[in-house]
Amino acid sequence: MSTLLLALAAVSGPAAAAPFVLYDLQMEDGGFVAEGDAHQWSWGVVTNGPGAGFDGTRAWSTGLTRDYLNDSVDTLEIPVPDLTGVARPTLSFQHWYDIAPGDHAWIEVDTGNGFVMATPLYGYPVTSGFVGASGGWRTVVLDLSPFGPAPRVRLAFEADLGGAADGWTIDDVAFHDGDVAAPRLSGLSGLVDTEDLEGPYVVEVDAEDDTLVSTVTLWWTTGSLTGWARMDSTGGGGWRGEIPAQSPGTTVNYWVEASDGLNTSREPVDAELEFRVYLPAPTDLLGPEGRIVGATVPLSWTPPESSHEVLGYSVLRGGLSVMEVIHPWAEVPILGGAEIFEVRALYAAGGGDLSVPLGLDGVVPVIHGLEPASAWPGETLRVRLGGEYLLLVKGEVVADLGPGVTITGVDVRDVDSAWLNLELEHDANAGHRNLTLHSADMTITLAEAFDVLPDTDRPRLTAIAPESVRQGDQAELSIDFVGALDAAPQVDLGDGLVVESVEQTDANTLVVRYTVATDAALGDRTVTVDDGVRVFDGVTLEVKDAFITTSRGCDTPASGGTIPGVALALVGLAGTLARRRPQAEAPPADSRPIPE
Amino acid sequence: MLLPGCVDYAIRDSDVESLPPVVVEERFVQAPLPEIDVLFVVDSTGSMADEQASLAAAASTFLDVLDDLQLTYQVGVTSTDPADDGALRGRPWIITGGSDSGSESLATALQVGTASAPPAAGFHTAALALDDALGLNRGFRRAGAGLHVVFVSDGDDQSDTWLGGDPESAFLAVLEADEEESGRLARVSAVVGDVPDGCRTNANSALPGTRYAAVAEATGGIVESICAADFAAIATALGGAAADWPTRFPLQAAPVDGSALVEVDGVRVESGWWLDTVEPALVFNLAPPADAEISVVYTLAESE
Repeated sequence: MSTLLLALAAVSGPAAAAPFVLYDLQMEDGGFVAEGDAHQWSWGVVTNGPGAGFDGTRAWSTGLTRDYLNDSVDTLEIPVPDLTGVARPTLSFQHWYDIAPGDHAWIEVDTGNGFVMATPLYGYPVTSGFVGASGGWRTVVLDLSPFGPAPRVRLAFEADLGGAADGWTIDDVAFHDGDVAAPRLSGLSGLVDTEDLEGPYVVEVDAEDDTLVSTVTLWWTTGSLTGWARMDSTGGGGWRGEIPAQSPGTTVNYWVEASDGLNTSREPVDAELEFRVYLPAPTDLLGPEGRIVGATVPLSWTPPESSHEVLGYSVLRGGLSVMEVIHPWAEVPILGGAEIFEVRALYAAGGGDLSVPLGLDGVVPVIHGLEPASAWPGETLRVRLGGEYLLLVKGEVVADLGPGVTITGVDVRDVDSAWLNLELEHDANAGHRNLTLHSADMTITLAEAFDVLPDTDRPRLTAIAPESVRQGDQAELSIDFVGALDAAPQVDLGDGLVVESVEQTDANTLVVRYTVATDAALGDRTVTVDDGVRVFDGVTLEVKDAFITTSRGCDTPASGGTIPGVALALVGLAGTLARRRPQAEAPPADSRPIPE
Repeated sequence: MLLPGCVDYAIRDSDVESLPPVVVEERFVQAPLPEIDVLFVVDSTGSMADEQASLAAAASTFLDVLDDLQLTYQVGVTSTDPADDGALRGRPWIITGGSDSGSESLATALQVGTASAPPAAGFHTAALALDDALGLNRGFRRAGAGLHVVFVSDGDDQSDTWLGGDPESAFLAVLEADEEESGRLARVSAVVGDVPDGCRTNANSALPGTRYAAVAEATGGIVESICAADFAAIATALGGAAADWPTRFPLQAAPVDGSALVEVDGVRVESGWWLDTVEPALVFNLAPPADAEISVVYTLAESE
């Protein structure tokens, strides 16, 4: 018989009595005898109730694969080995049960006068035996000492007419010589969460044993730390132990172990009790409703109720503290997108619990920059402002670029872009300027958004050759400049001069082909070069009298020029023509007069 | 034209019996970018999943049209669900021409979902979306910008509870107020079920969008069938309907036909324009770009 083990080994020192017969019931049924009205005790693979045996798939059960039957009394007799010479014969087995109301299970022993109910160590839940549910696999111990060398033992199960459940399943049936019963623990005190930071936290429990409870130990863990303390007997089976003071925010798991010197029990059997030492959290954490646009978000909360003084609050965003405040409100920076906010009260003893988290989904207005982002003192220019979520509205935007730079106008293009008209004072100090934008009750800043450039580096025209031209001339001149051009330049030589072509011949020289109107006004003109970003100046060009004032009947064929094939009467050309926008109805009042 | 070493016609001489042709130059500056705010009002009831997906797929086409027209635009999307209070959907909820991811944002916003229970109150939610006083969509409606509201639905408007027994007139009044406020045209287009019989695709059917279509026609907008297979074409039509761009530049006097030289931003343009000699004007086939400098040199007809 593979399930029969003989306890031959000598035991050194105190140890629980090893079984001299063990039915593990995995390969064989142990020769147990099932009888009764329905013969519903059976051996095999357990799929009902616990779903398996205690330490394998097989066991004996009143319901291996289904609930037990009603209106039946059934027994399962366990073969008892010869107990002659056994000093303290003891039967133990593991059992799992779920028994419907009105039904019950119990142990019977026959010493020759018929089977009678026998009471296991620590008794039955009720006088009629095992009822209800075991709550897991549990150990049953029966002292066979009073029953002589050859008792018969059986398990009895009675089901009434109505109701059924999973039934009674047993496994690992063993016979021992000695004490196999561990102390029984009960009445373990459950500690509740506490603001008590001083401790200790007192734990009480009742312990009993069929011999003597030698020690009762209180164990606890706080995260990775484990501690223990011997509990003191308070008499009458009561024991008392202490868990030392803990820091706020600590979760303490604890349990109790009792020993009779040979056998140890634990309560809870396969779990731990838990309590927290804490300082209370703020409540009612609230944020704005609706769409959130801004660099910050207003949060408020209700201070915690506690006997400990609150010194302030720490506000967390995404689990990280972003600010500490005294009052129960704050303007909290946001990053944009879905974010989680929490608040922790700060006490003298440390930080309290976190509030219930608050999820907010906001966007942060951002200024991308200005284009162009620099200018020289004295310049007037138009720069483009761009960004995201700026909520720009015409007439409601105020911008500032600091000293020496005046924003004379803000032309909002859309919610995220605008043109700023800038005037730089002639004595504006060179250096960075921060942009401050006020829009939709928001103040948005961009550091070093704009540079006032050193006047010494200013691009300018340095020379023009020749310095004068004559009416009617058509020739080339050169313009020298310092600085760099951003794009192909447009040259303006002033009223009465037409620029026909511009060529940059080296890094700092432009060659301009021009024509002077025959009636161009005499005198100096300011020459400008426009590279699309800014206008350069610094030199003048003088128009002098033509050498030849009349020449009729000239039949030179048309060649070159800007308007080939068309006779031209130039009467104050481009320079005198103001630009105008097309208007469907309005007369073109600002166009050039038609010659009479 | 001035010729080197030969200055012709430089002296006005009243004694000269026959004056040469008079050539003049006129310059114009094309209008700055026209501003248009486009509001999509998309039916968010259970039968709209396919239509929303098709619309979203055409989002880039729609914005491409607006970009090509060089419009300064803002586009927002709201649903027909009264519970939304007209709040614009998506992030950003106002899509501008300067956005790098405008198509993606618009495609996402156009899929407003299909969880709304009737009624689908398009006129009502559109009115809420346009109401600056509510503050939900701050900055969406711009002073000086035109408005184009596009309803997309496989049903008809059901705004009676909020706008009374004549929602069409009530919404037209909203548009009139908007025009007074902005100084620009407010237009409605509708992508709805065909009127009067509705329409059917392989998978879905649509009720006639009678009210939406009526308001679109009353405002000069376009009406397209939601059962049409090609939403890209619809998007193109909608985008085109948003533009109002100058192509005609009136001249001071009648030109000699064929005499003009035209430059746009300093570049000679040989084709794509013509001279109207009857009502003197330079007329482009396609509008010159925003802020373009336009120069036309022409011979006066009277001077011949």
